[in-house]
Amino acid sequence: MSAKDLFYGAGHEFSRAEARAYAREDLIYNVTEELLVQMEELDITKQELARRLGKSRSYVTQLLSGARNMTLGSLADICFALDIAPIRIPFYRIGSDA
Amino acid sequence: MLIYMLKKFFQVDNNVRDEVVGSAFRVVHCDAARESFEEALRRVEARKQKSFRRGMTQQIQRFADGHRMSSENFPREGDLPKKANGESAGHFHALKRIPVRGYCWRSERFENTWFISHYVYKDYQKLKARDAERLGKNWIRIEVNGDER
Repeated sequence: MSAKDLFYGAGHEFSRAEARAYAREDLIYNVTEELLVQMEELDITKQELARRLGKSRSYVTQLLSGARNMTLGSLADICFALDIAPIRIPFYRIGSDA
Repeated sequence: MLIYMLKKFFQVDNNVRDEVVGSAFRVVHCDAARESFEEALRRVEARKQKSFRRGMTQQIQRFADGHRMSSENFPREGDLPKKANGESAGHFHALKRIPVRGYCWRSERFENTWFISHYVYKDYQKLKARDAERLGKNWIRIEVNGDER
């Protein structure tokens, strides 16, 4: 079973608002987690990233924890500061093969 | 008909096991682990509980699908008990979503399987001995004695 089935019960019907909140947090979590993994691989601390961005460490901590809303602009700035880029941002129809 | 019966059988089996099957790993909740999650969740501020449940669900799905986890959200937490021959059995990790932790280890007995021992509401710094003991007991029960969860 999927984690969703486990934590909500198989066949749980999400309301539209719940499903939207889930999708939003899922994207935020996976993007921020990928960035944290990249930073570890590059051996770059939050302090160093903050320095490269010209921002405070707490700003970076909030962005990477999902506590602060990350705009596409700030994501691009972080990628630039880390010298990385997403391969592409693909979209697919939910329910079809990803 | 046979396929239907097999599907039904495995559905029931999975429910009993409290397990998530991703594209890389099976993540099995040990006996009473799910209850410990609900207990930990009850201690989270009421307005954040729904978001926490979503967060832990997403974290476990990512993990089961074999995507890399950051050491920030999946830190190494402590040592597993020693094997019968005295060798180290390695260490255990925590699925971390502050302030909740789910302590888990990768099985040597079951291929591509992780076990989540239990969850705690962790509003303190150091790992508590009782949590390491609880995980150790589950590890022995499963890895040494062959229980399935």
